[in-house]
Amino acid sequence: MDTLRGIAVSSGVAIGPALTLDRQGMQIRSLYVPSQRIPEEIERLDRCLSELSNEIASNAQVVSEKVGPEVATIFEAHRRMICDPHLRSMVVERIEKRGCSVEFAVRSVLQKYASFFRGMENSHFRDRAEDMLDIERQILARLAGDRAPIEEIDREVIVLAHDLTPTQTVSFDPKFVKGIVTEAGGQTSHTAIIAGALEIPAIVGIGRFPESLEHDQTVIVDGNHGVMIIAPDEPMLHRYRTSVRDFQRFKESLGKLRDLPAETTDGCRVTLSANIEFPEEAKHALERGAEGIGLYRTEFLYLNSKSAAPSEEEQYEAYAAVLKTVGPDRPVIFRTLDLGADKPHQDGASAENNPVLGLRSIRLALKNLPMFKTQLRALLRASVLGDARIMFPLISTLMEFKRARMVLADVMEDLQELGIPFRKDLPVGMMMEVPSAAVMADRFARHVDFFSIGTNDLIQYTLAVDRTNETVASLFNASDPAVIRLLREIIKAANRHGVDCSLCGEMSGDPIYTPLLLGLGLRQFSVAPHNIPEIKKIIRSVSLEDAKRVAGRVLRLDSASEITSFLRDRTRRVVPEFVDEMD
Amino acid sequence: MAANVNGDAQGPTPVRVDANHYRSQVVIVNSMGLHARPASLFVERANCFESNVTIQKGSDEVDGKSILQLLSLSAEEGTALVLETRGPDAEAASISLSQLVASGFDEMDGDSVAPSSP
Repeated sequence: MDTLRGIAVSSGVAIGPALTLDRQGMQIRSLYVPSQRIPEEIERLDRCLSELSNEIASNAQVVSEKVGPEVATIFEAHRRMICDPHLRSMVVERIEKRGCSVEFAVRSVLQKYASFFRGMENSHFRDRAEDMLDIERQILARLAGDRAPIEEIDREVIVLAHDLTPTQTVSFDPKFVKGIVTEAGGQTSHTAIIAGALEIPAIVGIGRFPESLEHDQTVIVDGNHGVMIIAPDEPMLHRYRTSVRDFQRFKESLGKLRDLPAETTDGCRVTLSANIEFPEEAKHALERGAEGIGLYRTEFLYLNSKSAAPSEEEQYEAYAAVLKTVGPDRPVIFRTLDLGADKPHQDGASAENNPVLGLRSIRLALKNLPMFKTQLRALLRASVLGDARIMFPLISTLMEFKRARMVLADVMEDLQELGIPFRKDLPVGMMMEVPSAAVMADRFARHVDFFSIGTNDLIQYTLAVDRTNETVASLFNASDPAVIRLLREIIKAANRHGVDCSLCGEMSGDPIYTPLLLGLGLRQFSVAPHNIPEIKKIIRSVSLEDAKRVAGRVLRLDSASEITSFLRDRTRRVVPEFVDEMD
Repeated sequence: MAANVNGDAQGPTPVRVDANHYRSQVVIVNSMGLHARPASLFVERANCFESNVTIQKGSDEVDGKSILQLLSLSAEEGTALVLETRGPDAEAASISLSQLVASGFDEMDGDSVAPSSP
């Protein structure tokens, strides 16, 4: 995996096979050819060599007449190299036996000769390496004559080129050209402007592509950040695939919805925030109209850090970046370390029989105070940059919350002594994701500044179902009436005590639950950035009155399946495409 | 060192192995060795003959009609080479090519040493 950075000139993300264009804008063929194309490749080789030989001979003639026969012999030597029977047979062998394309075969043979000569002691012979490279260039340039021009791109590719002319760029069909990366160029280059207009993700000025870059190799073009990744590994691919989907949805729905409020048809205003994991996502979230970051999962830093745990500085940088991006007027809720269970911590506490019920999340943090305090220090230091809020995960008892808060108070005291500024009034909340806490929500509400409901864990603990366990995963169901009752209690307690309550689990990003949650009194949703337009659309399509009726009805139903089908039906009536799309 | 270094444009006398196989020992006398231009001239000359031409330097043997292989010998001034020709015009090829090497290439005018028909 290779990561190159350039200038992001056209936003979006694309993943696809690399298509390398030469300076004439011709496609460079792939490294290997199918066996039925082998005779054709050899024909191309012979035609190329003989044309080249004739051309050099006539050049040699001209040179000989103008400058003298001595100089012409240099041309003659080149011509003989090009016509060399061994060069041909080595190239042919690579084509026939290994299925190489002519270009690749010529290249590999001449590079081999070049490095052989380069290794010689006598400088006269060592300099022949240059001759090899020169004839390689000549042969490849000649072969380019019968390459397909770029107009013939007829499959999805990422175009890589040294630079592109406006004519070339305009000729790209966005249906096939999914991304563009050029070695040269700047913010205002033609490539940049045209790619932007065509909405093709593009990066310019990335510098020389590595020699190892192969044709058809998978590359990722991240036009949002100016990052190109060659031969990405699986996690990286996964991350970007999500991002590609994200971008497509974003493009489709954003235009209309971004600047409209998340408001029901009868004027009930809802706050729609985003869940993020990487600092870079904050910008995307805002572009989609997020009113804040409802959940910033800080584990990512720990899972990606080179050392066992990220330094305070490393964390500060990430937190500061998010706060700066989001600005002072929108909240960012930082969830402290939620390691353990499905997110193994590298320090790997000894294997547990039942990690989901084990030393994870806030429990791990409270056992590992230096690590916890480092994070809190970084968070507090960054808090002056915006509306930062801190949230503790997996709180199961009030005592636990108080202990975590005490640790925070300790860190605040330390910072104060050192004269390091931080926001003293920063809101401190908790995840509502353990049934014991949900049941006691009204008590918690007197001690916390906000709740954020984490439905993934709440469902898992309420229903005693490990959803990563295939054999029982089907029992994991957000529609379960027990889960919905718990949600109602949490939301009710929060509203009664005037405590902010949002829902940041996957449930909040699923449009079938939106009317129900509104009807239960939820006014803050935090969803993955790509879900924002969808959820906003459904919020804007229902009335609070209807939503309350939905909730009332659901609370009277007995089973998850009844609830699911009822909710689907209701959502289908409001925004049919959401439900159809899911079927 | 080769016994028949004579700097004479006539070159060493090839040894007849059989009717279609001649062998001669030659030494590179030009100061730059068998670099691109001499090698090119050599190949040009070798290609005038039907016979196969091989050059040996120590244990390396290369095709005398391949400039790349000749260059790969890295034959500097003073290097002794064994030149073998096999084919219907092996004798003429052997004489002509030996002369070319012995003359130090650069002094030679291609036309004046054009081979006569065998």
